[in-house]
Amino acid sequence: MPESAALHSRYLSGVPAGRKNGSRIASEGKDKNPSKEPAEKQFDFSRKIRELRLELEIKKREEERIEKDIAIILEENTIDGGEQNRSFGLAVTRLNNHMLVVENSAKQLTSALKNISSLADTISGRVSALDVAKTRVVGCLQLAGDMRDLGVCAEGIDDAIRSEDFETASQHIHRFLTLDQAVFQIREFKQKDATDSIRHSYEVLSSAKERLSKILKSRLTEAVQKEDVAEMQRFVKLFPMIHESDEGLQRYSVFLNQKIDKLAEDNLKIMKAGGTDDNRRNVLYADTLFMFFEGVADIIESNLPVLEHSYGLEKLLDFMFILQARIDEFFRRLLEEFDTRRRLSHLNRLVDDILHHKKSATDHLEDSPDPLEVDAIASEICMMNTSVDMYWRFVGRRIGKNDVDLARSPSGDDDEEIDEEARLERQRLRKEAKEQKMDQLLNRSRVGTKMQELIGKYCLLEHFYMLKSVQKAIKSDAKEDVGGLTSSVVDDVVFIIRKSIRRAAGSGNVDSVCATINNATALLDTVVHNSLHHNIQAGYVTSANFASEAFTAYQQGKQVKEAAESQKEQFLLALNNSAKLSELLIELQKGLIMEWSKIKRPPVEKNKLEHSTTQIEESAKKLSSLAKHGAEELFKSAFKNKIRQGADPYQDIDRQMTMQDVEHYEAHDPFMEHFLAQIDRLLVENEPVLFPDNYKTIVLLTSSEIARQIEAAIAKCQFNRYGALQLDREYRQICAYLTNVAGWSAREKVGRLGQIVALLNVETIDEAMEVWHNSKTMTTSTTRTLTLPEVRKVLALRADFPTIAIKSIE
Amino acid sequence: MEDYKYLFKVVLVGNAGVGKTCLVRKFTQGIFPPGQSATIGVDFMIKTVKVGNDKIKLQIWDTAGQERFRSITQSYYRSAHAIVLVYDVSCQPSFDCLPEWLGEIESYANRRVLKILVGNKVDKGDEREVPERIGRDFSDVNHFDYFLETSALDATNVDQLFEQVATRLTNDMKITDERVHQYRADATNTSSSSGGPIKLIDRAQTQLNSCCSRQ
Repeated sequence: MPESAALHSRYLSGVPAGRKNGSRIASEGKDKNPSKEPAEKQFDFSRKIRELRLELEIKKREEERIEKDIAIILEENTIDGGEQNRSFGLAVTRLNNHMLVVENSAKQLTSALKNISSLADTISGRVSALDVAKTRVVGCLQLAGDMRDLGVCAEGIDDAIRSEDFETASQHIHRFLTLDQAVFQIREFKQKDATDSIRHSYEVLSSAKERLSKILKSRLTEAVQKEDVAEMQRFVKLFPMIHESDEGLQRYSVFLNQKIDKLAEDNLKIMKAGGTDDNRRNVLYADTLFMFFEGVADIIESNLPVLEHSYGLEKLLDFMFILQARIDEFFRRLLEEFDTRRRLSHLNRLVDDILHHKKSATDHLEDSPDPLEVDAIASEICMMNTSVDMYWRFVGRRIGKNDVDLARSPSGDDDEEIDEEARLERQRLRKEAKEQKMDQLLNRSRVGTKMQELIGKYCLLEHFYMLKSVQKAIKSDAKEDVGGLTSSVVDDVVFIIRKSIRRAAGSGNVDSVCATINNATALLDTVVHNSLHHNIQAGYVTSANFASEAFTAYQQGKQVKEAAESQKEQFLLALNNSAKLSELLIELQKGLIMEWSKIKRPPVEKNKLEHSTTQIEESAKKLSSLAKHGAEELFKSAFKNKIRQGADPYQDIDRQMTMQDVEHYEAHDPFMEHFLAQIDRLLVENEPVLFPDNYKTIVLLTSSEIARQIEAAIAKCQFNRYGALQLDREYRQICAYLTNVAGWSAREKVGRLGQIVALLNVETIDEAMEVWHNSKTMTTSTTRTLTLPEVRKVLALRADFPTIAIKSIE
Repeated sequence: MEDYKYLFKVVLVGNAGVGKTCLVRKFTQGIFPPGQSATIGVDFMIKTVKVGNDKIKLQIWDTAGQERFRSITQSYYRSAHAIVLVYDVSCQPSFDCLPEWLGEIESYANRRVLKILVGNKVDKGDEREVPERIGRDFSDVNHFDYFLETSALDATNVDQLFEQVATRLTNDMKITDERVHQYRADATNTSSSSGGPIKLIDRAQTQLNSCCSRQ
């Protein structure tokens, strides 16, 4: 646009006056345009203006052309100029006149546009004024409606109260109480009687509210006294309407408390009479608690909907607190009875003394608690906790289910104005407050704290039960069948521990489960571990150490042979028991994790359980290393010397062989077959008496020992090429045998020997170096490569290699 | 995730309300929970810290101080690697109870456990009832491994406390590891020279076992 404006000014200088105006109009039109646009969007001039501008442009070009034409014509016609000049002057005057007309029209257009814009302004002003008027009217209508309602309420209230139509009356009061306060602030009304009537209504309703509140209270109290449920429910609904929820709850809870008290009384009576079922006498108190909570849940379930509807959920939690007092009282009485009848405090003291060695155990031998009795009480406490837990979950579900409602219901009116963030914040705060209240109810009420105390006692009892049972299992340990490798103690111990941990888990209290696992693993690591360790430490008797053993046995006055046999058996049993127990504990841990993975719990509790169970694994590892230690002992006394003796003749074979020797040995094995057969006999002899894990340990130890002995024998020989060839054959025999007996893991144990054999089986030292370098890249983590000095030592065994050459290798 | 070098169990004990939970929360989550209500049973947290180049996982069992949870909390002593005994410097009674707690530690915990004494709430300034010197003396007399005054509110010494726990335990563990290796090496050496010194290996093994199964 500015470009075209510049064009105008360039071409219009020195052009007749009319043109100037034209350009002004054009620019004026352009200026007007935006200012008008907001006022009246309906009239769009921009298109028209664009057309006009286009036309102007065309006219301009035309003018240029004409001017050029004129100039040419003038030049051509200077000769007969006079005539032509005159007619030209006429034409110019005519043009000027036209221009004046155009100017006038443009002025008219401008004023017309101005007119339109001011009109538009007026219209929009009117519309906004109308808007204001409309809101005022709505407000007035509302106020009028309120006033009318007030009037209606005031008129109707007395009738309603008189005719005992309390529902209507409450509704009137509710309307009255929720009325906009503005209604009562109208004082300067022109008609005095109007304000008077409002004041009058206000007074009537205020006094009516007082009266109604009194009536409702007395009626509800009366109904509670008469135990008239229908009446009660009728009246209790009305209290929130007159904004006295607490009063209503208080009075209603009197009724429910009576019901709870009666329920408590009934249950206690049955309990004191010994219950209804003789078979369940040992869980009498847990049963009573269960029945009671069932009853309470029933009462709440049947009464809550009434309250929920008219009071909202937030009030319900307060209501639960009112009821809790009575429940607490029942629980206190139940526990008192439980404590005296089951002698819980007494038991607890004894158990505590015994577990923590506060007094020497011998003082209390006669009144040491019976593990069976403790077992029963432990179960009962767990059941009690289950009932309490069930009740809490019921409350949580009942009160906590409608979190969304909770956020919306109480003050829904002003929700619209508050933005989402503030709403969420308020919701969060409310949720937090609710959680805090729930925590208060669950964990800090008397039922909560007393139950926590009881669970603490349970943990002690469970610990005691495990200790006594495990001790008994160790004492009465017996090999069940003759062919078995392990004895009853293994299964018994796992059974006891599993039972206790499961029982704790059944109570629903995660802390008690963790404590029980802690105590169980403590037992495994001390009592159980010690008893196995003791038997393993006593050692394995063979003919080699028989003499000293026989002497001790003789001193103790036993039959020597018998004592040795029994100790041998004890040793093997302890060894196998450790390995089996370790295996079963790992299984137990996995089983528990599986079992618990199905139950929904908060993440903290899951974590706690998970980390507690790893302790079982740790105990299992300790037992497994005990078994390994035992297997090493067994190996030392029963295998090691025999292997060494068996390997002794090996070094006597002359390794400076001829081709014929090698061929001869192929048919007539000089040593290895016999040696391996000897070892095999040893292994076969022991395999049936060893638990698989232990047998495997023995086989691996045997493999290492074979390698060590053969290596030691090799070091004492001198080889030539054929001797090395024979060695290689023998190494292969060893490998084949071990792989056959124990698989690849045994092969690893003779890896070092393999390297030595390979080094010896070379033609030249250079080849040996190649073999060595190759082995470096191929060795696994378990076998170490030979070091340079070791390589030198090995190569020195080849009698045919020059010593100097061996020394110079690097 | 699980590429840590050592995992240690740290157990916090001490009277109710001395700020055990707040210390742990400050350390693990960096927050000071105002209006923290009494812990129920045992709370559990995990945090991985670095000692040198090693990742150390701390398993923190934050026990309830109230008497009724005593039998549950007692079961945690035996397997603990470190026990942090906390008192409140602005509450004399919480300090007066320390001997009682110490008795518990001595009767249930493993003898080689790392014992740390912590005086919490030093931010309370004027309200302090137990001077630092008294706390330090108590820690010295009773052979605590470390003494520290902290504030969970303003984070004084909180990280340092747990870093110390991790560092000391890691160093101890490294020494034990080395010793085990030494035993192993000794055992193989003596056994290769065969025959006689079997009893030496036995002794080494017994020692090894008794370190493993802290009784």
